[in-house]
Amino acid sequence: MAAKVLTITSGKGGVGKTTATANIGVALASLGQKVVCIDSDIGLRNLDVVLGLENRIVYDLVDVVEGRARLRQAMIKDKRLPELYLIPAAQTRDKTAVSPSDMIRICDELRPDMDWVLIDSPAGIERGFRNAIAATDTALIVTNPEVSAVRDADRIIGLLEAEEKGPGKLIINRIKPELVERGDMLDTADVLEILAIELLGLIPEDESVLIATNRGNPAALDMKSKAGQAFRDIAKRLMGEKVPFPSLDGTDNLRKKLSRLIHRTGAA
Amino acid sequence: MSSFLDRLTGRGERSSAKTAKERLIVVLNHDRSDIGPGMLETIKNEIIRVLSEHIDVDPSAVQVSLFSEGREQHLKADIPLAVTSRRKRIR
Repeated sequence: MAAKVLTITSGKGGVGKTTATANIGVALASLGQKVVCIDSDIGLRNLDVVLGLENRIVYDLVDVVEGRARLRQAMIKDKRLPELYLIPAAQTRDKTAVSPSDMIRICDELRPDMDWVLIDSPAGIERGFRNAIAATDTALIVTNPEVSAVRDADRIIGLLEAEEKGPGKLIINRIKPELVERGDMLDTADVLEILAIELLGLIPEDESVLIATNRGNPAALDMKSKAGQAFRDIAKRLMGEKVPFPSLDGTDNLRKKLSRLIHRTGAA
Repeated sequence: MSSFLDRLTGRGERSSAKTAKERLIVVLNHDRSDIGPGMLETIKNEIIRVLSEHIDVDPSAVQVSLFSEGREQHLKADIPLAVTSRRKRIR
């Protein structure tokens, strides 16, 4: 076994990196994969609460780096899925407590025993981001269909390419189909044309994600959640399965179909 | 006709997504190349200066711009030749 290391990153804060990490981790583990999620947002940890594992933390990433705990001791076992683990970030330290070479060493130690190592990156492009991408095989770039999030995603893709870790795969989160349909939100084609990287997932805006986070039960565990389904689709794609992308552009809508037809005819 | 359809289908001038896309394309061209509007202007003026030593160029007609093909960046210069340069040659 040799784990793949994925870093979930975005540049901009608040686009859904931690939610994506938790849900993809849960979804992969639900498929029987051995998964460890690492929170690399030192000083601002949150992956523990999103996964609902905050009460079980004894040791954290910095304890491992500084030799107070062995890696296995800092791996919190999930209560729902037998092969899902979390290595939490330290809350009372800052990004300089870990170096890129520490991350490479930790991931190398995890690789033989795991299928996937998911690293939740902090926002920004400084030390924390450098740590998060140091050991990565593939970066998953999370963005929202919104000007500032897309701009920051582009910057991140550029930095990944400069480090020869790019270009990564794209997850577009918090899509509101009714806004796209109305022409007030960038559609999938727009974002893909601008960023020009491979698409991995399309996640609709879904209040079940908020409710899931309130409870510490990621939406990917909820079979009725649309966002949860989208994260489960991502996990399947990561496993090599071809899963079609749902239309979140309101393209099933008759009016839009009609207008496209007219536009096409008009152009011909 | 098409503007009427645009308005009907919400894709016309009131579509803020279209504006967002256009603005993003411009700003990303500058971000990616690290060539700001100021430097683009400097490059344009330098091109005009160098070319003017050899041919007649109408400075107001010269357009220098950035565009992307996928993730590849291009610098494009459109330099219409001034009518006088052709006349001169004919004479």
